[in-house]
Amino acid sequence: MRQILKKIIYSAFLAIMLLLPFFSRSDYDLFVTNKALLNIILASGLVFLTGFAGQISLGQAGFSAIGAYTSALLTTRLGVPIPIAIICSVFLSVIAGLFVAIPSFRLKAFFLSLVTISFGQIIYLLLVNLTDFTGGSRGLFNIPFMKLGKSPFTNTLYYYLFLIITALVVLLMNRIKYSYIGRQMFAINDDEVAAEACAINSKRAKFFAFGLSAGLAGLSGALYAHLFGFLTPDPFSFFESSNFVAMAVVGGLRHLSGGVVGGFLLTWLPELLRLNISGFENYYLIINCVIVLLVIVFLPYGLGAALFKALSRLWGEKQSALTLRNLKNKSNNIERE
Amino acid sequence: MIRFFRNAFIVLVLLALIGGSIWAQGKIDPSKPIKIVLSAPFTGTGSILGDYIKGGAQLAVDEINSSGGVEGAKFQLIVYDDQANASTAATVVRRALYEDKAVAIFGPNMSAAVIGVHTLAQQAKIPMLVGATSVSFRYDKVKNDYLFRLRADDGVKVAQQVKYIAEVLKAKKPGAIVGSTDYCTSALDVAKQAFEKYGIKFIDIEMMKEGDKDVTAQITKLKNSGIDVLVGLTHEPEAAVVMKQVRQMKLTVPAVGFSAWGVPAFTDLAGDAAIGVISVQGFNPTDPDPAVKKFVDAYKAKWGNEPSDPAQCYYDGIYLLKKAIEMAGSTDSVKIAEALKKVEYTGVQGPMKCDDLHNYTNVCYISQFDGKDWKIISKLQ
Amino acid sequence: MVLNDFLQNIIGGVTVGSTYGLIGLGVVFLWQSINRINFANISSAMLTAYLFYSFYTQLHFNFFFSFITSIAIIAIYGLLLRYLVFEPISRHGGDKLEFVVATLMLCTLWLSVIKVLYGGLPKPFPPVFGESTKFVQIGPISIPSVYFWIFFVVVLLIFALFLFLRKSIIGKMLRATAQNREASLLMGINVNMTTSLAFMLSTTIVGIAGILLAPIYFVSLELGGGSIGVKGFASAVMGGLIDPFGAILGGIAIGLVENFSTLFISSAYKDIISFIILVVVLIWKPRGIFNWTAKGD
Repeated sequence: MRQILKKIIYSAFLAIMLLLPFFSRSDYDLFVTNKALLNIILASGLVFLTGFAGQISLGQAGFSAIGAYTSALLTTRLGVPIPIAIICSVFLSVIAGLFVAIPSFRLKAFFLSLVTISFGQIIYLLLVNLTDFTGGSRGLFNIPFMKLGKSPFTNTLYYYLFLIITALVVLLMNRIKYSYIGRQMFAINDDEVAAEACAINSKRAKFFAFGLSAGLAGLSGALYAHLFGFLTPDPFSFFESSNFVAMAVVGGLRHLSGGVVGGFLLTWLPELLRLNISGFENYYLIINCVIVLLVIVFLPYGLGAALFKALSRLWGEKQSALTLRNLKNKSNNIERE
Repeated sequence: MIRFFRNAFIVLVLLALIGGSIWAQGKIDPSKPIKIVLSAPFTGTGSILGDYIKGGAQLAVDEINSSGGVEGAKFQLIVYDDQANASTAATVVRRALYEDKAVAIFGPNMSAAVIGVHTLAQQAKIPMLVGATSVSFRYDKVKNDYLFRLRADDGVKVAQQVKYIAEVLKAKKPGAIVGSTDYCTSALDVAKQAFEKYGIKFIDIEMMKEGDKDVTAQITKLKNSGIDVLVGLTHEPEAAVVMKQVRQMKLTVPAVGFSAWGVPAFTDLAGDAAIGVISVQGFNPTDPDPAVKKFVDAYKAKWGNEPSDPAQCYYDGIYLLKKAIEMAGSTDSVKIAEALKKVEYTGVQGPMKCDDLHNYTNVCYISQFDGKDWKIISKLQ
Repeated sequence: MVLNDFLQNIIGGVTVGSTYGLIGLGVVFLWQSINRINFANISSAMLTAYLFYSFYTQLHFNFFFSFITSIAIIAIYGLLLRYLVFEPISRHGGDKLEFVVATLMLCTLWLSVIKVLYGGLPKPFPPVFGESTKFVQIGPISIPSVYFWIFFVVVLLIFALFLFLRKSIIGKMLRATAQNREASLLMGINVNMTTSLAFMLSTTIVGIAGILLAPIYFVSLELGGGSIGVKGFASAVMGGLIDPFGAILGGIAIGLVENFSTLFISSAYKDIISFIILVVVLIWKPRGIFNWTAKGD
């Protein structure tokens, strides 16, 4: 009985996702959903980096920027076809990620976060200042849209493309989590010294974590450039980086669904708060922050984790040992008296 | 067990909130008002002029609605925050076009945002009336029949600024201090071209960045190069920093600023350092023109403070739209766009008519700050 | 000519840098007490500046009343920060990262709240430290009179803190708790009280820094934004995160670097250079520039 319930819920979910363009009321809905899918890709990478591997990064927007501007410049200045440009930009982002991984060998937590903040800000400032190269705050325009034959992609086609990519990313995360690379991540997250003692090369693991999350961020950025058709430095500021981390935390750091739930909710939340009430345009950002704060304070494991916990109780399944282990509180004695 | 219920409850509440707001947005107002959307910056970095923009627009909408509306139908003004950010503007404009199905969009006010989104308005065939002032989207450059500009663009204003410097001040060796945003750098380009017509070149150009609090190095260089007038092409806070340090370093040449210099946002911050500064302005509340006075009084009565550029152009814009709808005799946006090309209206900014560049007016002032007000030296209509 | 520029920049750098150091102090106090980083640290500066602006310019109270009341309010905010944010997060199982994200959101929240209450345009700081256009001429160098006041207050504050931490009983309790929480508990020190004290000190010191920075940065959203906040963190890091005086010195170092990079390289790249230096310091000397003892984690 419970098994049938599970199948029904999963199929319904699948059906909604496949048929979403027909449910949506307007192009605007699809557009925001497309943005959400891109954020899901980035947030999943962040969940992997911060949640699984325990490396904090407050500069993901920097990798996204590298991906976006690389693809944009390759396609506008050099006429490179879009798929190749995207591959190149992911490649560059991964390399950037490997560079940022290096400080993580010696630095932990707060200090590492400062390095990542600096990285993100340096990229942002370069975007703004290298006007001849990047267009500066004036922006980079006329980025080609993806084309089907002769006609450019509509939001619907973008949706299906992004959906496929996102599904692949989530699948990839799933495979990695249960592979030995994934377990290496959890090991160095738990206790790096002990992990090294078990012959886990923490440097290689960190390279992998940063490279993967940077690559995903770069992919997200490159697709963003071709979705919008223009780029300005604004979506790559520190504010966005902190938003991405909020997505990961709200969604749930230790759970695979974290990136999906967090990315989707935090992209839609400010849009939904654009209510047609006079004067509200001032308050929506406040309410946005308050809601996120409340979720973090009361549900620090994230909404995704809570959702799946509820669901698995619903169909009476035990959650996997790995998931349970992740949701256990890392006890920290210092402030408990 | 309790934790399960608590978690489930929280998830359900959130889902209900989300579903509820999606449901609430699809509702149509039964009395069929005329929907117009205003996209303005209320949060974000940079010039947060949203309150002035909304102030002007809302004032016009309320005045019109309380005196019979547009042939009986009332305007419904929907306001969105575009965060002075081209990406957010792209989302907001799509919402206005496809979800709200507005008959017209006012804003964005930021030029970079306009360049990014105006093609959307063209595709959706809905008129977009903006207060953004960059010359990059003049009609001859973008050929967008649905894009209109509600106030004098930077090209006109800089030309006036240069004209005053060259003809009245008779300066021959101008120096400039320039910010790094598009607003500043394109003004510099126009200024260079305008000076060339007089055979004058900038002797020294110094750059500064938004947020800089110390420009003594730049001012020293300007002073040393022997300039006889300082051309200010920055935003308001930077202008205040510049003028304070100009006084500190005793650079005594006249200072002539661009439109961001001619607003209370600059003079409040600069205090006494702003006395004597000359600036080109898009709007001056002390203009004795009765239309201006009426607007200033009404604005003060409603919002409690004096209006500033660009409140007046959105005020005029709403009335322009009203006249265009009446001329077109319908709320079909294509017909309204056609009417907007032909309609004539005399507003706060004087006689307004759509010219070849899709600008409605070229009005601007050259004024000098005396410590309390900006005294108008000349006004171009 | 160059010597004058040099001296001018040193004076400017030290003055503004010392306020960055104060902001770094806020970071250090909290780190020492609860082992957490408050990413909304800089918001206290902005809030206090706006509070002072309200009391003094809008409500026309006198200087002392405005100053004391703003500081008192921000101290209470420190307490609220502990009981409304930190305690609930730890109780529900949140760790360092959750606190980081929560305080990041708090920082954005305060920016939005101030924007709603006061509008987005900067406000002039009232001339309580002398007219902003007044300056003192020492030979060929002109120093804005505000700088003297700022430096004076910072020195006073550091001296007061020194006396408090080294000589008073409560100060010693604070330091003891920072060194070893368990042992302090065993010694009968009221750790609960010292934790609250640490929160309040953190917000108050940063609040004073905010009032000192407002004449230069205007009473603006910039005071609560990322750019100065990161400088505060950088100052704390330069001092190894443990010694308060290291933070002040670190801040001065940052102020000097800023000014000199504007002088020798263009102002456009000033921020980039600051960040690069921060990264270099972090990687090369994570125990602080002056190699204080072991950094905590």
